[in-house]
Amino acid sequence: MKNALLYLALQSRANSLRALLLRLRQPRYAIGALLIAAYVWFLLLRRLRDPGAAAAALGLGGTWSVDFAAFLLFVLTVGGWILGGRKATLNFSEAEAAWLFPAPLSRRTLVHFKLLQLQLGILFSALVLTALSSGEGTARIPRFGGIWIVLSFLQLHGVAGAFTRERLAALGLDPFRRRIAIGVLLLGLTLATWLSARAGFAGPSGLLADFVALLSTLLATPPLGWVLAPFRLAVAPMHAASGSELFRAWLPALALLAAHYVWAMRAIVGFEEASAAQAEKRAIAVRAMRGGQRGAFLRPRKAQSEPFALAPQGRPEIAFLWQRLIAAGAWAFPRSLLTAAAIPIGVAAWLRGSAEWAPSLGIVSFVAAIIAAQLLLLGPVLARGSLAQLFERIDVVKTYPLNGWQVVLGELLGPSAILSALELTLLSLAALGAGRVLGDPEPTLALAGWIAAMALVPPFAGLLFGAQLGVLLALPAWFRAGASATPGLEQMGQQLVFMFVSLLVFIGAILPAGLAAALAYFVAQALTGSLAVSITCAGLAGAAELSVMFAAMVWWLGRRFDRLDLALDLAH
Amino acid sequence: MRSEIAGMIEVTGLTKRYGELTAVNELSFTVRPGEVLGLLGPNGAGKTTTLRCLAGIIPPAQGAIRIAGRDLEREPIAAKQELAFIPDEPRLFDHLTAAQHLSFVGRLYRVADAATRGPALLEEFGLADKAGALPGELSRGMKQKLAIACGLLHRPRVILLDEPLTGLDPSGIRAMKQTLRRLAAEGAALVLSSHLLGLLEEVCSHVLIVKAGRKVADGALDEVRRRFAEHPDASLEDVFFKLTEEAGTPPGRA
Repeated sequence: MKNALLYLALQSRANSLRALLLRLRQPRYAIGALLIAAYVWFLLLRRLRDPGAAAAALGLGGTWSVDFAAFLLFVLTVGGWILGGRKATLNFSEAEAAWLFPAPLSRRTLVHFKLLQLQLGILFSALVLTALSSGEGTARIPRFGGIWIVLSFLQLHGVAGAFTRERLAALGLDPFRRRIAIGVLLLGLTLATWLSARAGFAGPSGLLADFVALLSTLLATPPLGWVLAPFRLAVAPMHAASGSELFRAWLPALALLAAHYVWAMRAIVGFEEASAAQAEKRAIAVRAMRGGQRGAFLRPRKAQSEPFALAPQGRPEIAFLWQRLIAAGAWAFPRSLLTAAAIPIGVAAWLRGSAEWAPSLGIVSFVAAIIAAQLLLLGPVLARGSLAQLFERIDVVKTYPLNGWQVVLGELLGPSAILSALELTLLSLAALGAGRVLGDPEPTLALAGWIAAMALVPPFAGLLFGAQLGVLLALPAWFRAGASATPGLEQMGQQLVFMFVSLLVFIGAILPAGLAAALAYFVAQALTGSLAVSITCAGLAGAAELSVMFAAMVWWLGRRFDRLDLALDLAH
Repeated sequence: MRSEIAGMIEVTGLTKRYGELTAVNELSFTVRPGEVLGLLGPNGAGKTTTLRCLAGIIPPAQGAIRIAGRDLEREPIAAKQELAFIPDEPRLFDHLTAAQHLSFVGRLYRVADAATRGPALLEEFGLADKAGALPGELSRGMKQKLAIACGLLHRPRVILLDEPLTGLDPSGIRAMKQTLRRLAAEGAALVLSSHLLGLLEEVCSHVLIVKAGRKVADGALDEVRRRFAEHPDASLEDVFFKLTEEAGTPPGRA
């Protein structure tokens, strides 16, 4: 039976890799793979070859001390004890729970299977962290081992702790009482440590260096210093500076891991029921996330009111918009967005009139501008899950009597409308603050700027969401595989592809739109001499150019959607 | 005004390949108005692929499909306007209520009387009191009924059903059979894929048996039974096993 588990683990990985490689026979997937390879090279391997550069890039290396790392590990461990529930669960998938729990396997075998399976992820994480954090003093392989020990410590402590918490709950220490007890212990520990260290503390100076020195003193002072001792053992191999130090650090750390393993095996309790329930819950959550309803699994959904009444006749794209807004939730309805826009803009307008508070508008303006820029770039990338909802119902959508471009336009309208509303709110806030700081423009100029923004933002948002849908339609197998697979190189690479295409479309849209706007500006300036008219014309010309690009993109994506044969993509 | 067409579904030389695998191979058949065609075959025979090609979900590698006289490749919109595809797993929008699903579909298919027909269908399928319920509040069978109600909203003349009885309770199964018979009586052409041979025998007027993507028999149910049965009392099940378990059965029309 153990052979079967090994077979399951290895064969699943092998098949996944084989499917990945077979898919590369298609040129579009091969291009994506090249991008992933570039990503891996620049982010990981290059840094492995040049540890100093990595450490410098991340600001790591010398600033890491054993005490701080041990304290961090202590915080993570205690966090598990505070947040952990009553029932012990192990991270089994829905299929694993369905097949392995009824199988003639001992509980111990199941725990071994899970621990070994998780080790694959730990080894990969250790590799990435080694690449990202290689610093001075330690060679790469020992450092990799040190990071592996810390991650394994967390894994084993998590499992043993979960089993022990359930045993304690059975003895009457339910989660509430446990949290109270831990809180009291932590308070006592803090007070006792502070009282011990207080004598050597000179008082607040406001300097960062003094603060760091105080923290170092506290971490070394009993009783906190004693409590951190086992955690120091776990992190010590990561910080060994020489071969002899490394040897001395490794033995106690491995002994610590062995002790945790024995603890976990002796504390084993029945975890199957809770693990199966958790697996089911997680599967629902993943399906909801893939459908772009990230909040759906957090609370029971209730039937939503409608954003607007859907007339029985009319453009089908509007039906998609209607459906998308309902899916997003009441916050995305036009009236909610208008209210949400009116409140901060109203407050900002009030701030402008207040002599005392008006200077703070500069900060509001700056923050709003930063958020607007980030939202425009990252929003479509992060919200692409909502577009992937299309794949979940593609069998049904493909039978609708609609052209591909209608489906694509319908799918893009909802997220683009929401993003546009948010962007316009943020830009209004930014403009109000900028006007206060740089000097208020004439009302006609402000109106011209507002019209230009109103015209430019929606098609631009549509193009950025279109780029995301384009990647999904071009590489559907990747997205579907990645959604259910454990995080790994392929998913990181996919992220890169989405970001890269988004950036490409961003630049590709801005340049011609900027040219069209500039041309319209100079022509209007020459003809009318009015700055307000010129700005309006520039905005409208840029928007017209963006709209043409958006229309072309929708048409092209529609053709791709019409030809899309998901089964064929997945078969290769 | 809808015109009368001899073959509501006309399939000629339908072939679908996935790489080196030929899932459907040179399949040809016709379904006339009022006929219910049972699509039979062992697992992997190509039934679902055939249905998905007929529904316009996936393009065939070769061959032609005409739905209500419209070529599915050249006039996909007009052809799809006439058909409904009910998949085995109801794929509903988590956030739309039952009534909102019908509104949505009504708009897509431009159903002028969706506002009155939607509630009538909910009533017909016993979902009137669930009009405001989200899919998460419905049982598997109710979801299936809602998917079927949505499929029938635009009065399709061609209805493709993949295992339509999955998840239905006995009363739901009886109601479903009655609905299928009524739709056929009203002139719709139905293709019904199922492994429930008893159901097919009860509801279908014609059968099409496929194996490894190839047709091994098709025609009126009685005719197929008469031609391939080894004794007069043979059931469809007997015929099915005889045809699908025989190695190297040559394709042929009954």
